[in-house]
Amino acid sequence: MSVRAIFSRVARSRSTEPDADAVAGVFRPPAIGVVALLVATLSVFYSVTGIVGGTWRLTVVLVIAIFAATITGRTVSLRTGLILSGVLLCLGFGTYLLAIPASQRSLFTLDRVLTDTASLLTGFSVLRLTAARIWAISIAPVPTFLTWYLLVRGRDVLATAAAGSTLLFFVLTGDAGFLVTAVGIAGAAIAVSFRTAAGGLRAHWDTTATVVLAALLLSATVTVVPGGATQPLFADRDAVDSEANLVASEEELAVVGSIELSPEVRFTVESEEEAYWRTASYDRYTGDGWVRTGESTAYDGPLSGPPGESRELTQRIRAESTMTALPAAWRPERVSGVEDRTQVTETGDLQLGEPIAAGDEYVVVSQRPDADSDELQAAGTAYPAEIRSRYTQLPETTPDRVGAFTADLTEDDETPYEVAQTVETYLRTEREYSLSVTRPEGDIADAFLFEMDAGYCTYYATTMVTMLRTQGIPARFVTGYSQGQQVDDDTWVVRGQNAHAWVEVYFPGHGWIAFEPTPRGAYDDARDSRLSEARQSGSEGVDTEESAAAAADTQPEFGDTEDAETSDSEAEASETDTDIEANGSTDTNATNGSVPSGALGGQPDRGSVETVGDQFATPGTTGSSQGPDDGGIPTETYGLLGMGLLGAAIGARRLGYTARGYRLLWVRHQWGDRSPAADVERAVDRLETALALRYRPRRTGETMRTYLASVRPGDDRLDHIRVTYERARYGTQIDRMTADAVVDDVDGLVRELVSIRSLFGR
Amino acid sequence: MCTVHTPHVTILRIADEFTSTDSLSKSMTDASTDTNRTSRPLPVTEAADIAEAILDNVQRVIVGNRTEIEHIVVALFADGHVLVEDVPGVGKTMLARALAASIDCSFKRVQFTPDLLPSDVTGVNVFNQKTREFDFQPGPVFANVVLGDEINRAPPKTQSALLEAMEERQVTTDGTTRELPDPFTVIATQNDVEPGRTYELPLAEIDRFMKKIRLGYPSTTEETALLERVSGTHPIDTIDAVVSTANLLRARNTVGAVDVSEPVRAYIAALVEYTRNHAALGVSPRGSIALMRGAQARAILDGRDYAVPDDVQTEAKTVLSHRIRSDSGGDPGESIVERALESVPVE
Repeated sequence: MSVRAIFSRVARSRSTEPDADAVAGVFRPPAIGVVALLVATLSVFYSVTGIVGGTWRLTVVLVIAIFAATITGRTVSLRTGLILSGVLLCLGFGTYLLAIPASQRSLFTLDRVLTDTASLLTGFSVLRLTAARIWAISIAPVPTFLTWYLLVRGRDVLATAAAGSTLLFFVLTGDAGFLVTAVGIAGAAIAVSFRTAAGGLRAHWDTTATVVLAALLLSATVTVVPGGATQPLFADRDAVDSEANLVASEEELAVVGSIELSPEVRFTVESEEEAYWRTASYDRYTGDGWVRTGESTAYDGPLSGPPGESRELTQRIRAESTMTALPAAWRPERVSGVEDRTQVTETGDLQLGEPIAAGDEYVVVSQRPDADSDELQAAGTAYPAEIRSRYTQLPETTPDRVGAFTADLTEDDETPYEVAQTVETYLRTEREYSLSVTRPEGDIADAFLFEMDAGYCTYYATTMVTMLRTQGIPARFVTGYSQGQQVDDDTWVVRGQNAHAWVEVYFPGHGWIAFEPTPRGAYDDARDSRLSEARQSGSEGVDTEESAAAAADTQPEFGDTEDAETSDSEAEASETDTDIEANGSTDTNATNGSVPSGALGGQPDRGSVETVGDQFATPGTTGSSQGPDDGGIPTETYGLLGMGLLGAAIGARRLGYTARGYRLLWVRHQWGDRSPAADVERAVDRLETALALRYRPRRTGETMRTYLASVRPGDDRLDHIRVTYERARYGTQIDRMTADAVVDDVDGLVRELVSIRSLFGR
Repeated sequence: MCTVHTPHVTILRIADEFTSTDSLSKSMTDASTDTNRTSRPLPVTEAADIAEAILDNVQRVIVGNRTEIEHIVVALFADGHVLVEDVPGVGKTMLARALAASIDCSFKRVQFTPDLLPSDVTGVNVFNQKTREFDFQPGPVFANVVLGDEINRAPPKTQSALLEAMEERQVTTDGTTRELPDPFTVIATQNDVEPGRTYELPLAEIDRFMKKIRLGYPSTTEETALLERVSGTHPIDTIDAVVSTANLLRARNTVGAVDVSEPVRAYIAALVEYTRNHAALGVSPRGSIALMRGAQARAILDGRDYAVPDDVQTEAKTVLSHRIRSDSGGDPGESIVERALESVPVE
């Protein structure tokens, strides 16, 4: 063998990485971890397609990617493989860009792409991408191919890095929930530890387990993205402020369990007529929450009004506390006062770039749709393609029975308007209003329709949107504030508890028309009692001067005043036949007008804009399914318990308690009969263990005789045992009687030597 | 003629030698008469008693050094030779003489000097005027116990004459091979001062000694007792033999029958393996056989008919150390053996 050959062999044997051209295959221990990590990552893609559709196509694409990676992994060098992955990535992005509607594609500049990427990495869920389905299908094969390719080539660490960075991306976007992150991190830790500890895994299992455990705990308790979708598992979730969730939440909104009402005044509105003060709308339903897709652009001059007839409404709104949203009646056209920080979403909502402080004022001019029920009946179903694809989409996981039930319910209805009214009425009358609910598992709409008896506005609105979408009617979920307490002819005081959610349905030629599926009577009662409670307890910020005066004028219950007002406006509304208003309250009137109001027992619509912001927590966390009155043991408790037990096991092992405990048990029992010699050897083993617990273990290279003499010099029983042991082990056979005598001796000695205290050392 | 025997064969040959009484008869008197009885092993207790008697007898002459005397008795029982290395005057020769005196056997002493010739050791053929033939005049090597004093002072040629006798248990002069008496034990001493005027023993030859021991100076108490003891008649002149040659041979057979179980054999192998991995030159198979023989003899001294790892440990240092050549600047053989004893697990 030449010197060079020897040298290269030595060099290769020293390198920890396998030869660059070697093919390692996937049937190796580290592959377990890599596959777990890859599965966790792909599960995020699947959760995306589960919501936006395309699961089947995604599967096909992934299977092809893995197949291709297996083949290329065996034939193509590492460099070529990496280049291939890069090409694949470019192809994926290209496909995605082509799928974006042409109108938006023109907006794509390098600057824009960079900004988008940055925003994705700061908690911008991929669900908010308009073409999330195409995105998932075109991008998912890239990390799959790369990871599998590297795995096949035996580059476990690189494979872990490839899949791990994809998962990290999803952690940053907030799409990877706790469970997914935990599984992924555990997989990565396992892959790397198996890799580095190859051969000595048994010796390193506790170190590996510690690393995995630490990773799990970190991923469970630390959130990377502030306010991102992935809530830390053990964060204090009781403190969720309902209003903050409904109104202040930005692009995503999860349905939660019980909520509370905040009676603090948020803003006052000067307006000629009351309206639902709208803050946001959501188009993408995830089964347990809502996401708004698309981008926001800076406010730049007047916005377009609704397509049909409309009437102008000017609102002057004064913030009574810091506000992060811009409540306004639908459909806002012009903003003044805060126009420099106003942003407009693709859905036409106004957003606030920076919060405004208490005392700031702004004016919004809105164009309110002004269509009566006949016009809406005649609106037809000629929906624009973009509206149809965006607002009739439902998660693939939506149970079929929702659609079937809705079809049954609306069998006799001929127009979308009738369908909407039927559904609205059904929900209003067949469900109790309650702020105290347990968030159901699975699809919210399905649960509210078939399992729950009661809920609050979020549940009503979510269910109604889902039901309408099953019938192909474009509908969306809207949040904002109900009209609030009327303190003057043209002034309303709006509190945190007025936060509300309702529904908008699209009618060709008229645009978005609001519907109110929540029973307003019960809604208002809840808020009134909460308000008077707050007043009595003297909470601050509950009243402005006007509202306090108004309350004093009338009764402690402001609801009465409101009722009166409402009846007036309702009368007006019916007179003018403007049933359908863009805003919630008017909309409510409209519905009342078309449905016999007797069905709701008087004035169902009145005054009940939900005070309480429903809490809209961020979606997607397993933990958010927890209601306070949830009877079962929550999933994360099991997780926590499991981690605790694992940690305790590792700790005990590290401190030597398991070994000690085992020895403590082991040392006391002879465990059955064997040959006399075997019995003696076993007895002496026990004796040695007992002595080790009491004194010190026998050293390597120390004979039994030396050991016994050193730990217990001059013990005759030990000498006797030792002599018998030596004879049994090294000499001739011994008889049963001698063996039994030795076993008895050892039993006695062990009892003397070992006590339970030995478990905790001397 | 030079027959190369493996150590194994050497051991097996012991029994054969007793049958070929003809060759022995010239030089041996006692052993040849009752060959049949000598092959019968003594009971373990009797063998142990013999060892004890020899020890006690030697102790009447030598004060202290009980451990070293035990080692020599072990070598005697295990049919091995001993190299005693120390400064002059610590009683090396006296020890050998006392040992020989304790056994009813012949004792010869050779003082090795730089001008000593091989024939001075092995013997020469002298022309007999009367018979007109060459008569063989046996050298000092023809004795049961041979003391080779300061063996490292003789040139290698002379050294090897003795060493050949040790290994082959026969001497070849002028083409005639003569068997040495049985038992045949060489106790050689080696002077480790004045290294400039010595011929260091080659490793191949030093390997033939079963043990190398050091005596060391006696303690003050021992020396006091020693002085008191030699003040009158020297005790070496008063001691008598306590064991017959025949019984010694029988005791040796007892040693050969000592049971060395598999764990002990494995332990020996592991120890030897360790020295091979941690020194330039480790212990040869001859060394491991010697170690096992030593352990067997040690078991007899303890009154057992089976060897335990403790026997191996007691023997290892004296049996193995001198067979190890460490790297230059490396640890001496003793510390390598010590480390082997510490790190090789005892099963």
